[in-house]
This record gives sequence, C-alpha cells and structure tokens, in this order.
Amino acid sequence: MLRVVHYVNQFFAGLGGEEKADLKPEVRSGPVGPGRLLQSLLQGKGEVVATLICGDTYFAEQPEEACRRLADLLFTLKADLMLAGPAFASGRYGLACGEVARMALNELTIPAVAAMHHENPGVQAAAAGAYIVPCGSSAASMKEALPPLLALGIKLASGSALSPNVDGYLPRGIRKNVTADLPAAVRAVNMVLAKIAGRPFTSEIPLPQFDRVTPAPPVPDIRQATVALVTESGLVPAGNPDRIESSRASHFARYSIGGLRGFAPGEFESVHGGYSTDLANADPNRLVPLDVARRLEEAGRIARLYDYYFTTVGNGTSVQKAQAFAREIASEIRRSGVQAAILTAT
Amino acid sequence: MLTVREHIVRDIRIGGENSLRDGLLTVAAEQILGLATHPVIRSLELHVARPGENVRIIRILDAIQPRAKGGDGVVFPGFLGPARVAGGGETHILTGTALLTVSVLPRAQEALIDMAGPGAGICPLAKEHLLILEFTPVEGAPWGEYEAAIRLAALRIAAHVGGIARSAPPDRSLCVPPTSSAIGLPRVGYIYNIQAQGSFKDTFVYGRSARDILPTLISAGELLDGAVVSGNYSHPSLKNSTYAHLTNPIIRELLSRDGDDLAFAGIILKPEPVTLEGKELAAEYAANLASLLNWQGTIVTKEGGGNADTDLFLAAERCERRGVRAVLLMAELAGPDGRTPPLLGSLPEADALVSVGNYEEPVSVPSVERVIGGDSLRLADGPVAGPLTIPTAPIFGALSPVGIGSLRARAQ
Repeated sequence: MLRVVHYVNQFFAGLGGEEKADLKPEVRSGPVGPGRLLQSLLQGKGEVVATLICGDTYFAEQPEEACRRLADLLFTLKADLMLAGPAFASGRYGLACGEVARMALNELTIPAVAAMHHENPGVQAAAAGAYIVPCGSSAASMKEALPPLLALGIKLASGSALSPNVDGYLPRGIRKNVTADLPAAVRAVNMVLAKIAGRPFTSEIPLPQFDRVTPAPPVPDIRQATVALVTESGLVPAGNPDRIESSRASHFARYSIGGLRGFAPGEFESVHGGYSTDLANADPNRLVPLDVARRLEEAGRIARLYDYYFTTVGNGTSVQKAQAFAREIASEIRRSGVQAAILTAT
Repeated sequence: MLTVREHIVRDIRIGGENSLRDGLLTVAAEQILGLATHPVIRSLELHVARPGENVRIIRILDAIQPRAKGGDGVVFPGFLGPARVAGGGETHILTGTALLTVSVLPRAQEALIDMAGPGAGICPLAKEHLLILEFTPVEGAPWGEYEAAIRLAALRIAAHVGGIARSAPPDRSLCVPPTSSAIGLPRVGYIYNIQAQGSFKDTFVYGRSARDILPTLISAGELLDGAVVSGNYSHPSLKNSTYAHLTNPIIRELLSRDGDDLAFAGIILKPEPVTLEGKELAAEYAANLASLLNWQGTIVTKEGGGNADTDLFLAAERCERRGVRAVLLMAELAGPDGRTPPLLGSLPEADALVSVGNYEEPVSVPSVERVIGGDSLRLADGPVAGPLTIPTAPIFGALSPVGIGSLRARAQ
C-alpha cells in the first residue's frame, strides 16, 4: 500500500478564497478536496494518508520558509509518494505545487509529481528537476487531470525508468546519456531532409534562452556618483577567508576597501579556477582597478568609491546562482546610494 | 572512382608470419618493429586487445584503421608517398580492427579505453580488435620531433598491416564515385570542421598542416585513402582521430543514401581557426562554396570543445543565410548532474542540433586485470587498474563529433 501525501492550497482544501490566502503550512489527516477523488482512483493500491495545505499568498511571499515548513511536515509522514495540485492555470498555486514537488524529490528523495496547465509559471520547477504533468486550465477539467497525475506518481514510486515522451510529463532540465536508437549520422541526415522539405523537425538539444539585459541609462553626471566595484574574477583577501570555491561558486563576498589605494600583491589573491592567476596575483589591480578608481576619486572625476567591493568566481557558476548573487549585490548598493558599478570579468 | 575491398578481421595475433585467413589476422612482429626505427624512438612494444577482454588501455594518442592500395599509389599520401590526389583505383580496408598509438606525450589529454564493462559499451574502439603500438621516446628527444616520428611510424604500420589483405579474398566490395550522379533529389553536402591550431592540435591534409588553409572541397575516396590524418591530442572523446576520418559515419550515410532519398553533393573540409576573424572567414567561405555547389542542405560537424562550437554555429548561420539548411552534431556540456544548460552559446540559425552525448556525465568502471600503456593515471586518483569514476570525456571516441559513438543525451 502506497502512502500518498497530497498538497493543495487553501481554496481546494475548502478553507476559503483570497481572504485565507495567507494561511501557514498545516497538515490534515487523510484526503481533503480533490484528494478524495485521488483516494477513489487509487482503488486499493494506496491510501491518501495526509493532506498538506498552504495559502497561496503565504507561499508566494516566503517560498523558502514555506518549503522548509512543508518539508518538516512531509518528513514526519513517511510518504511513498507526494502529489501536488492540480493547479490548472493558477499562477501562485502552480508555483507552490512545482516547488513542493521539487523539494520532495530533490531534498527528501520522496517521489513527487505536480499537475498544472503547461503555461502555468510553476512549470519552471521542471527545469530544476520536478516531475510535472500538464493538465487543463480550469478546475472544470479536474476529472481528466487526476488520472495522469496519479499514474505517473505510481510509476515513479515503483522505480521504473521514465521518459517525458512515453510518460507524458514536461521535460525536466536533466540531461542523461543514453544509447541512441539510430546512429547520429542517420538522425542528422533525416533531420536535414526534413528541414529541406519544410517538414517539422525537433532539435535534440534544446536551444538556449539567453537573457537580453537592457543596458541601464547612462549616469547623468558621473562626477556626482558613488561607484562600486564588482567582480567575478575571484579576487579575495589572501587566505580566502570566506572560502569562495574556485569553480561553481556557491556564494559571493564583500570586503572593505576603505583607505586602500590599490590591491597589494600578497594581501589579495585570485582563487578563480578558470585561468592562470600568476599575472593577476602579481598585480591584483589587473582584476579590479582599485588603483585607477582611487585616482579618479582623488581627481574628482567620480564623487566617491563605495567602501566595499563584491567578489565571486564566475567559472562554471550556474546562471541561477549568478542571478541570485546579482539581486543581493544590487539591492545592497542601491540601498547605499551607489549610482554606478564597474563589473570586471575574466 | 575508388573500389574499396573490405576485409573483416575477427581475431588478431602477433606471430612469425603475415597472413589474413578466415578473419584471423596474423602479423609478424619483426617487420612492424622495423618500420619504427627513428633516432627519437627508443622502443616500440606491441600488444593485442580484443573486444570483451578484461583490459584497460591508457595514454592513447590516435587510432588508425589499416588499409593499403591494391595497385599503384599510396595510402596516407603526403606521408607515405608523394602528395598526389588520392581516391582512385583500389584500396583494401581492414574492418573490425584498428591500430592504437600509445605513448607519453606532454600536451596530450589522457584517454582511456576499457575493452569490457560499462566503459566498453560507450567506446566505439572497444568493438575493434586492437593492435596497440606502445612507443617510448629517447630521453631528451624534442617532443615535436617525437610526435612526428611516431605518427609517421604508425601510418607506415597501418599501411603494412593493410597490405597483408592484398592477397586475401575481400568480404565485400564497394564503389565510391567521386561525385554524385543523382538528379531530382535534395542536394545534401557535408561541412567537415577539423581542428588546426598547430602542434599537438593539428590536422594534416595530404601531409600538410591545415592550420592556414581556406575551406576546400575533398571527395569521399580521398578521405578513405587517408588524405586527412589527425595530429590532435586534446579532448579524447571530442576529437576526430585518424580512425574517425577514415570511417566517418556522416560520409558513409550520405554515400549509402545517394540516389535513394538525396544527392550527396560534396564534402567541404573546413579548418577551425583560432581568431574570430578567421572563424568568420572560414564559415563565410565554406557557406559560399556550398551555395556555389547548389547545396540545399548540409550536415556540419566540429572537432574539439569550447571555441569549436563557434565554428559550428557560424557555419550554420552563414549557410542558412544563403538558403542552405544546416543540421549540426554537438556534444553537450550539461554538467555532471545533467542540470547545466547544455550549450555554451548559440545563434538563431543553429536550430537543428543532433546530440552525441553529455561530455561531463560520470561513468563508473570496475577494476581490470591488465593495463596497457602505463602504470599511472593523471585523470583520477588511485591505482591505474582500479575501479574509476570519470567523466565521459576521456573515453576515446565516446562523444565523437562525427558520430562514431553511440551516445546521445536526452531530457529525463
């Protein structure tokens, strides 16, 4: 008998609408709302032992805290399978279902599946490894949405090998090497003939969606501006006090440059793993131009240098991590009245 | 027109005579050793490894499929004889076997072949009966001179072993025309990128470095006769070994379908220059050749990692702009856990990619009884014969850019 735990929001739990959307995570024994239908579909193969509930606003406003609390609750329930939703086209509910399914699988190693409409923003959790089955856009399709959710969940819990094409879930971001059914040459020639004939073809590697960053407008008067120095070059005080990794960095750090006229060799060093650091360590100002920036400050060509510089290692660091670092750094320097930043990369 | 006489090798033995009988290839050691005398080569040791044997081979520099001309002419023109246009007459080719050159070489990235187990399953060379040439340099020999000496010795030995087949009845014969005579079918060509960065990362065309060439036309027969030879010792799984040039599956597929559902409209050999300006010129020039030849579509392959991706994408961009539809073969850099975005970059025209696998996915291989090629590994800690967990990258040919491997990556 599979021990199934079901996740729903306050609305599908029957606790209320928007006015109850700040409900904190809680657990109810047995099935609630659509969980009752899941229970009947299980037909003796399992039991919905508990329902986890969280308000959509609560989840959206503190996703990490909500996830942590839900993980603590889920951990005690000894679930064999976690099912979330269906969230249909509801954005905040979809985000929660995707995150909860990702958390259960990746952090608690509990097989987990969420269901939502394929345009729900919550599908982004698939790229982080969550299993998501697409469904209709409204609760009118509840009866059609539940059987595929349950079927994938049962198959996942059984440990069977899965593939998005056969099992109907959205491709996850995870790429695995497999033995190809046909040689690459045959597939390539088939694809080029399809392309020539104007027939549909599918690239075997998803095409990257790179962000286009719109440059900020120019600083109106740089002589009035406080300027910050930010780098991915791995320049840290000697000894690397915050232990920034030489590749795939998990964090960034900030260090004071108050009173420094430049980075002295021996006192600062690079921990970047992606280039030879000999020339950089001989003169760390080659990585972050503190010496020149200080002279510009003294000459009045900029108003002031910010008292700290920010540093991490960009070598192999994931885009998601880099975006999170950027948000934190930007938020601090904005609060501190910095109008411009010089970003140096290696 | 080239007539290929294919001889299938089913076992291999080092003995006192040279013969090929019922698939058993016997080679006389003395004659082979005699082909490797050179002031910078201290010794050559011969080994045999068969598919399924509990053996690991390391420090592999190149692989070569043996062959010899039936009548006049030479294989590997420019190395073993004057550089004259090849691809005519008769060529005996030994399949089911390959020579491996094995040696220490400072700038070579470490390569590995396991003949049994999970490593063998993904290595195209593990299916071949291997004659392994383990070279040792004279102390203090200049590495460039030594590399050239063992490359030449290995080509001589490949031609010598190929010559053993001359008197044996072939298992199959095949005619390879220099051009297609198909009409009314889609004209599909092949843009064949080769790494040409100079010493230790080079490719030779008719014995000359391809470093400064412009993209050029070449026929399938010339490649089958060994007009293109590898001198590239980086990226064991992402390079085009001489074996890959001699057995290129893209060319075989286009030849076999010529007249059926396509017209094989030619091969453009294209270097991968080291500067962006050079890359743009090479891409533009190749696309222009394709357009002059009225190609409707092309397969594009690469050699190497990182900057070679640029050559692939630029070729696609320039071809598509001229109306030549492009499909690219590509290894992925999706990270050990498969979660990293698999491409370093892209251009909108490069929208049709065939995967040959994720470079970084770890492979665990068990311990082996015997190791050929050395007594230490640089690519992992621990004993050379021990169990290893390594990325797919060092497994020779596993992610071959021209598709001699069997892997692809799939979203799970």
